[in-house]
Amino acid sequence: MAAAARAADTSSSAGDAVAHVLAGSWRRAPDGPAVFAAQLELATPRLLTTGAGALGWWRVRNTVLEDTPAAANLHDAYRVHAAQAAVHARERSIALRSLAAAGIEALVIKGWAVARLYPEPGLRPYGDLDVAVHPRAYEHALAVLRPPPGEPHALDVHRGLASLDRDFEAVLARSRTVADDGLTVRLPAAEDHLRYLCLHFLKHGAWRPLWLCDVGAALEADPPDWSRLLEGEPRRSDWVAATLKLAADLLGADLTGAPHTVHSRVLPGWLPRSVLSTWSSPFVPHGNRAPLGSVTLWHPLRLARALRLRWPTPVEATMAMGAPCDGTPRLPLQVAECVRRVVRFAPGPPAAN
Amino acid sequence: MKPRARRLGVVVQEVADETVVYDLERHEVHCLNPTAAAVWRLCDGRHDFAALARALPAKAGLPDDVEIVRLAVAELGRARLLEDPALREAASPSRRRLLLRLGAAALPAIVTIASPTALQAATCRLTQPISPSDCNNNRPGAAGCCCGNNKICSAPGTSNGCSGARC
Repeated sequence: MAAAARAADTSSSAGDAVAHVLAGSWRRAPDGPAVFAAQLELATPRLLTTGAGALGWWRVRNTVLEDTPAAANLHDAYRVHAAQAAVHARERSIALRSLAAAGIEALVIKGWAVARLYPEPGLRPYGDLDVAVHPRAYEHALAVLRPPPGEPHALDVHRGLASLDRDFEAVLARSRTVADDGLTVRLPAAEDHLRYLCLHFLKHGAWRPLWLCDVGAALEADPPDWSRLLEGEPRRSDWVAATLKLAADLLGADLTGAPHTVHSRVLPGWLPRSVLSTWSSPFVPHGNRAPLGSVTLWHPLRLARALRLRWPTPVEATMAMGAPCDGTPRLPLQVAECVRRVVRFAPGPPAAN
Repeated sequence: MKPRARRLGVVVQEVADETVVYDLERHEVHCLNPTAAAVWRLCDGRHDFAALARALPAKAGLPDDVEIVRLAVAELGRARLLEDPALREAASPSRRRLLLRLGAAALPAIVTIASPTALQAATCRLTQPISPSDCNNNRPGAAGCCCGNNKICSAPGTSNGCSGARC
């Protein structure tokens, strides 16, 4: 409903335009509000750089916008991702057979595990195959999956599920299997995976709109057991609930079956503002930026620029400081997190002569 | 001449009404329309152009027209989707003439997109920067790449495409 309300706002920021274009894009017949040419033009660069180009195309194909230059770029992204999906299918098969042959039980998470929930291959691109193994099996899994020298590594092996507040063995016990090209693939239960996706989205500063689309796709294509979804460490459950409501408010995700506390939750103003602001600007997630120590700190302008680049967003600060997603001001959290980063990453004083 | 479709080093995916062929060696994606895809599938190395044309009505609902096959083979050759290297430089009949005679729906068409490496999912991870002009001109695959001026190509196709965060 909130997404529809923004439909009339054609003077939106790029972040608003991205949200508008992506509303309901994970459905076979996207039924979000009509997209205006100006919005598509504004959103397209951000859609392309964040991997949501194919979804953008999915939204505007069979509309009057499909012949625009912006749509042509999005269509190309769709084609490329579809082709890459076919390549990844081969790689996935090899990796999973290797794990099975070595007797390692692995859960496939993120990437393909969520791409399969979209109506067409290629709508949701992914690179590495993410597999989570029991912490005890981690080193063995790395050895089994190490690629031959000179070949790229297309696998990301996770030691358990660190950001999920659930015991790995319990997650494994609740997991289910699906068939994929003659293989049996083990996936987390819907509620475990959705909880993981929500936490992953916030943990990385909500920088990638595609990840919120994943939440929408998972909600609708793989409905969770709501009580299991929301049980766990209360702070994380708060973050999960906030992410679900964000998916509904920004992208029109369907919260059918959700408890009243999620449905009726009113998000603090800073949260959607922060997310849309992040989606508006080219954003390099913290951890991917050059360390502060590599910057010449004794040059005031460069220092100021470096600090500005590393100033945590309200979402980043909330996650880093373990704060709730409520209406309390974020600035103190941001200051605290910025100080923490500077202390952690700044070089030491120059050596005495 | 009996053209043969290249099967090694390519991955094929059907997408809507297109056949998308990923060339693993050149990291290019070729999008074949139904006519081009039909001819490509018929190229088994055992049939000449006339035989391929005779197969078009039954296999693809297209006219029995050898010019369609010639044009398709020329385009497939240029895209390196046929095994015979000689076909990369094959002369093609006039597309315009065929268009007037047969209409657009019957013409083969191949769109080639230069794809980043198969490991790229969303943002560019090329090890070498691209030039700002590649970004400004929206070179395929430029989006998200690091430009030579150390900015990210965040607005490909615009006059100041390399305007994102530093990379």
